[in-house]
Amino acid sequence: MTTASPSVFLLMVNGQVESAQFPEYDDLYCKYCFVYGQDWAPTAGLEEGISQITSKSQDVRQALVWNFPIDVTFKSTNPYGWPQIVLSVYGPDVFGNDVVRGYGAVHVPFSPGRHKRTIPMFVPESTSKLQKFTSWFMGRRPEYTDPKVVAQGEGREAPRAVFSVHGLTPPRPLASVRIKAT
Amino acid sequence: LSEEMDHVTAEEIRDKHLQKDLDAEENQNVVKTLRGKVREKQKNSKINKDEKSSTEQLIDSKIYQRTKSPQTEVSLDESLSFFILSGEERSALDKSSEQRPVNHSYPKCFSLGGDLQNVDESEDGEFMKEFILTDLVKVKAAEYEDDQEQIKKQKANIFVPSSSPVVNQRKLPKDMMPRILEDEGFYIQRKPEIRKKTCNKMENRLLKLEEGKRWFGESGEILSLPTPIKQSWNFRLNIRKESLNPLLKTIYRKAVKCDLGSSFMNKIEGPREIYQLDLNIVGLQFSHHHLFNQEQVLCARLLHLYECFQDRQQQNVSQLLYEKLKALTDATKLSNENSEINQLTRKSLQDYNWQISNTKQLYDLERGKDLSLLRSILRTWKQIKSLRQHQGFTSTPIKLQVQRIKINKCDEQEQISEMSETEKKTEGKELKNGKKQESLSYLASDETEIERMKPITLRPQLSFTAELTSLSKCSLHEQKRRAKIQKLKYFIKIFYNNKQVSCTSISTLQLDFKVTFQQIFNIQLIYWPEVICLEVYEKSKRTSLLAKLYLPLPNYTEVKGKNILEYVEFSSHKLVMPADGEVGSNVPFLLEGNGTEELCLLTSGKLSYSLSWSLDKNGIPLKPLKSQSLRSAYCSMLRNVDARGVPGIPWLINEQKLFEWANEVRIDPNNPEYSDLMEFVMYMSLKGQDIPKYFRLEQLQNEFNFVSEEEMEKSKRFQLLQLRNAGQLDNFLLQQMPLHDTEIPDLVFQEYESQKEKEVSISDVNSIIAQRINSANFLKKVRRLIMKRTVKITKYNLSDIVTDYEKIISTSQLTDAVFKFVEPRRKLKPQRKERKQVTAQTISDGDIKILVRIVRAYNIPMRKTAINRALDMSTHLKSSISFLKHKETIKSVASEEILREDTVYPFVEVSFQHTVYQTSTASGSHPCWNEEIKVDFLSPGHDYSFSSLSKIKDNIYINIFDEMMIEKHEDHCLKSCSVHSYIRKNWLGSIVFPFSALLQQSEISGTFQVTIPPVLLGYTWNNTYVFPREDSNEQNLKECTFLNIFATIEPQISYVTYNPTLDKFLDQTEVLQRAQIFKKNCKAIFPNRRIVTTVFNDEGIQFLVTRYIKALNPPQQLLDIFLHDSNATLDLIARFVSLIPFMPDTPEENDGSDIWMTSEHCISLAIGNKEEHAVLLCNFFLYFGKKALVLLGTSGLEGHVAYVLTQETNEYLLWNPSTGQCYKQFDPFCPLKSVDCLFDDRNVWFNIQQSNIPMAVLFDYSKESFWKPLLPKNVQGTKVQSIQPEEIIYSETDKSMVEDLRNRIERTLKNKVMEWRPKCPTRWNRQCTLILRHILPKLELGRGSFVSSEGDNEFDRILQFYWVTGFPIRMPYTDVQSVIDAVYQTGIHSAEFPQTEFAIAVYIHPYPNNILSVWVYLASLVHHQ
Repeated sequence: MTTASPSVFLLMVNGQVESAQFPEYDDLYCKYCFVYGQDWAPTAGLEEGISQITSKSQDVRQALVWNFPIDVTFKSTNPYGWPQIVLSVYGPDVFGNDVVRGYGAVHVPFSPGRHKRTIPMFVPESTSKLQKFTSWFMGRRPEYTDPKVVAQGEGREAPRAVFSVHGLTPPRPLASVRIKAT
Repeated sequence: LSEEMDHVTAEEIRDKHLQKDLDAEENQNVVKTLRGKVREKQKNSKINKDEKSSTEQLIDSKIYQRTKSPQTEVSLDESLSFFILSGEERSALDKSSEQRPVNHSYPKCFSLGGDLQNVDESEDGEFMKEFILTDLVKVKAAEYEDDQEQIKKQKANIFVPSSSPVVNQRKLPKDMMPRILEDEGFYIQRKPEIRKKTCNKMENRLLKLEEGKRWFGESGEILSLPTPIKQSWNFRLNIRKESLNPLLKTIYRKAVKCDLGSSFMNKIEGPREIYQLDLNIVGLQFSHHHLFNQEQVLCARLLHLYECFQDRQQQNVSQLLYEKLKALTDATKLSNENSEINQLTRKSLQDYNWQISNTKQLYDLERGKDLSLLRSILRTWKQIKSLRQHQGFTSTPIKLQVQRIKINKCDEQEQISEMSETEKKTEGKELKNGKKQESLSYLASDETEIERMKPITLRPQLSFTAELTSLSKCSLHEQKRRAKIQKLKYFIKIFYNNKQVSCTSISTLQLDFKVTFQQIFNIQLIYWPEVICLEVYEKSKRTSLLAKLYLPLPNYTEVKGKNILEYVEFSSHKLVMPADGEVGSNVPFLLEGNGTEELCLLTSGKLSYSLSWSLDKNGIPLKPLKSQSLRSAYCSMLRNVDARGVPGIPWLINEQKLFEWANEVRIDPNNPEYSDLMEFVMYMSLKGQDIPKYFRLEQLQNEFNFVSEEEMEKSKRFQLLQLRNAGQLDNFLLQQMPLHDTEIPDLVFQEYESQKEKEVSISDVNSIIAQRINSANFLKKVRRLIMKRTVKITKYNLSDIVTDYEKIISTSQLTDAVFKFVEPRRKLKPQRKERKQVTAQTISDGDIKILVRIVRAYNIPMRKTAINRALDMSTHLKSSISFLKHKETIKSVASEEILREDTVYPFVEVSFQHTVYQTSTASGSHPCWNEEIKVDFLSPGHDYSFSSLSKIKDNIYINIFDEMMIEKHEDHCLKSCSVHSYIRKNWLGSIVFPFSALLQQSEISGTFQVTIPPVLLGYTWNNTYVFPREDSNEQNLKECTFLNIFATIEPQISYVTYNPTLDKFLDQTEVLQRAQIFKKNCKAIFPNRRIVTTVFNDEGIQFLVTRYIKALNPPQQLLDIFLHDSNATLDLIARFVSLIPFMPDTPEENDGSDIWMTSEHCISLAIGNKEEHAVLLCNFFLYFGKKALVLLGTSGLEGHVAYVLTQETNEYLLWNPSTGQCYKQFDPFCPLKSVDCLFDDRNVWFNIQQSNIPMAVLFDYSKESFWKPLLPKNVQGTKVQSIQPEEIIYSETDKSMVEDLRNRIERTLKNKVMEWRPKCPTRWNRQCTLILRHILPKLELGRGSFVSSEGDNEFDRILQFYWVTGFPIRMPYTDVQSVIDAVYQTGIHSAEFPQTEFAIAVYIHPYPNNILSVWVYLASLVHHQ
């Protein structure tokens, strides 16, 4: 009964990580990857990518513009596990250490057309002040082993036990991605 | 002006810059002109600050532009001109009046231009002096601004809002008082709380803004949204301990689905406008009210009577009868006058007479009624009057006047009406009362015959003209009552189809007990009207329902005017006790006027309303049309019928019955009353029984349900998804779910089904095989069942998610961290670094490798050269007695051949998951390879999480082989030519450890004893070797081979802990709770040590582990073998236990809640895990009166293990139940690596010693400082009832089945060996096989008495012709596959030498209860040249 090529539907995503608003940081680069369910498989394009380092624009907007293209095609048989794009932004801190500045995830738009998404970003932070200080001092911020956890449900309780994952007091880091899906 | 100055100076500065740039001469001029301009500007601005219109100014500037170019001969730099121009224009535009004069000066300046050129020189010099020099040369004091000054300046720009409160006037528009809505009674939601100070600051700040005022509301406060924070809980917990009032208890009632569908008007059917009902509620009129006083009661009665009277008057029956009578009498008179009486007239006369008498009677009756009515009216009136007099005030405006109509007998047409009595109903006038009395008496007395015939001449007239006594004059009671009346309020809720749609405004009760609403409600219909109900509510202090009124629905055919009022009467049986002079309601009271009359009146009244279909603009009624679709007609019909509530008609239940009924009654089809019904019948006959019962919305829902539920169930994809979700689709897990049903192979389900079936019943011919499979399945099932009851929570460690994160708890850690920076770094001191752990999420295929380093081996058996085959057997025949002696025989044989070329070329093969890796070949019996083997590792399902890895049950085999070169001379060839050499490997021994052990321990390293078959044909032991650590043990190490290995998984996979949480419903007795706490405490001290306190039995009940320990009898058969040698018996029993097949258990399951079966079950099922084996062995040992405990720990090779500890006189012995081997405590090769926990039938002890290596552990568990007991000492004495049976009853194994199994195994093995050698022919040496078959039983049984049989002689014969290598393998029987695997591992089949012959012999030694020991003797024979 099995046909030679099982029928699938394709999801083509192309777009770009446009810009970000990180009022406090500069010289950031971002990394994107996709998280998807088991019925999904990428067929073409890049599943992961690291952008160039960008500096803040000199104007009032102070936008960090990457315009980093995303182009990937998925095939799937099941809408369950719809791909999510996970973005993580890194940049140097005062001491020049490369530290994470934000994590965020968003589903790839469900409807075709141009979509613009603004993803609020967050970083895990320690609940203890001392710890915060030392991590700042030593340049060893808490960082997810795998940024994909931000798109997954499991394992979230661990940070909750020890950390509080702040939405960060000012809703500061915002990265916007424009994704066009067809 | 100062601004202007600034401007100028700024220009100057710029000019200076320009100066540098421009050519000296030319620019000098330019500058000159500029300077001139500037100075002129300054001067002029000072002089004439006159007005100048802006238009002029513009013109001026134009002029300037024009004049500029010819005038300034010096070619101006364009940019400069632009600069001037733009600056000028800007100033022209920006600054208004002040700058006008300045601009005005330009034309002047330029008109003077011609002169300027001449004056240039002098002015320039002046200028230089004035400005440039001063700028350059003059030493100025450092600029300093006074602080005060600075503050002043800052004040101009910086605003510090004060926190003092702001006056309202400032916040609000002028002349407006703050309006506080809350005071006016509006509901204002709470505003978020802001500190007054902050608020004030904000207000001050806002006021500073231009548009600041719009931030303030009418109340003068900042506009703000209500606080979103809820202040209190909606639900208050019942803290009180006493049980709830039974009345307050909630009762479960099943939800009743009401069929609303048919009442829903179908919008789709037919074009429909909005239907609208107009309900005009005019008011209420109480005919009785609980606040009535007696006067009012009477008044109401009077009114009622008067109404009756008026009705009668209108009908005027008595008058009609009277006239008829008169006519009749006239007729009789007339006929009497006629003298001639004929037959006819007589008859008619008779008839007249009869009629007269009849009419007279009727007339009398009617008149009597009229009279009594009149009389009662008068009586009531009298009562009222007396009452008014009595109580001293009037509370009703009612007044009765009686008219007398005099009828002239003679002239009947003439009626003179005269006011016989005009009674002014004022209280004081007795006279009038008397008169009235008179009239009454007159009326009563004056009844003559003729008079009787007269109609009643009295006519009472009611009017409401009486004056009410003003409040101040009334009695206290009355005052109170009136106050009460005023307080009472009424409103009406309107319910349409049992749903409240609207509510009237609240109206007060007037003193005449009327409530007026005068409200019109327009009800737009979506649902067919079924019931319109009005609920009258009374509102005094609390609101209460007074009455429910059901309004009749207006007919669909008629449209009524709005002004036609209808009345509905209502009454309420509410009990109201009278208080201040009123009569109350539903309470008996005595009317004061006549003491005997006791009344009990209910509050009642009538509601005046009008209900009609409303008209639209064109005057067309907005009512549903009759000619609507049949369906809606049906609906309306049903509703109508329902509303009418025709009794006895069962049509709503059954349409069929409706038809029958319609047929039976034969209703008139033309009767409009039944038109609905007829339509319905027609519709039904058209459509049959097919009336949709469902609600219309559900119908829509159906449209959304793209597939029915049954179809959904049938869908293969859906099934597959469900199965996958349930985790039952192991083999299909990796693939994508097919999109279409057709793409799903039925195979998937078949597999699943078959898997299910397999679990249900396995029928094999061989009972033993069947038993094995069944018991394994049974256990699986039990395990799954119990696992279901325990909830596992996967707990991720922080380190799993967050990288490089050190938790710093104390400051000392911080200082350590800081010191790290300062610490001197010694470059030559290597520091051990912990390996980085990698989380499963980041691992993908190929990332994981198993590293196995084969360091070296000790004491590998040596090859026995073929030459010594002919050695005399007699020597070793006799010398071999003891258990291991047969090896010695070989050794002794070999001893003579030491100096021969008896060497060995060993190499090691590591195999895992059917991939084999090989080291290089070393030589000698103590080889050193020191080679690292990287074993590729692929997790099934590409899932590298710990849980899925721990499910891998594969073993890692490390086999030692001897590489043997056999040269074969080709027979046909001449001597010089080809000598073929064949390599063949002979298996010498192996080390096996499960992958799970590696996963648990992360590394396995050390020297391990190699399992070597008891007999290695063709090999001998090197007896010259002295083992380095021989002093430490007495064991004969010469027959043991050791291998030094190191194995690990690279990179290290982080261990995910599982927190099993037991369901609460488990019977948590005190002991079990204690056990849990104990376990938790122990884990807190030594998290890596194992402890098991409670386990589940196969029924899912939790028990303390101690209850598993009880002395149990081993099979009698075993006891009989060595009657006198107790040690041998113990060995045998240990061996028996080791023969019970093992159930592979994963570390995951080990960690949490274990399931242990009782020993009896374990034996009868012939399967068990490590712990069950240990318990069983321990129980057997206890039977012999030994001091035995079960020990939990970790083994280097096996991971988590359970051993049995027995206490001998001066030492402790450790028994490994999985091999039956016994180790002394100080045995360096004991695989046990840690001793964590001990338990026996009384207690559980946890090792709290610093070291848990067996050699360092003190096994004296009575010392609490070393061993932490679960139960305190006083409890220890009490022995708990064991869950083990009293005695195990063993059953004999069926011999025939064993034989059958043996044949099967032998057959399959032979087939397999042939299968494994697809390229070469496989020859079986029958003779050898026979001999082997003879030898095998002796190996199992005899152990000691091995050799003394003729079999060896036969063997010798073979040895004369062949080079024989071979070995017996012993294993417990689990299934055939495991036997095959074991044989495959030895690699005996891989002999390349063409003339190799093989021999395989299988022997199964049966123990009771189908526990079998399988022996496979494998040999390969090579013919000597």
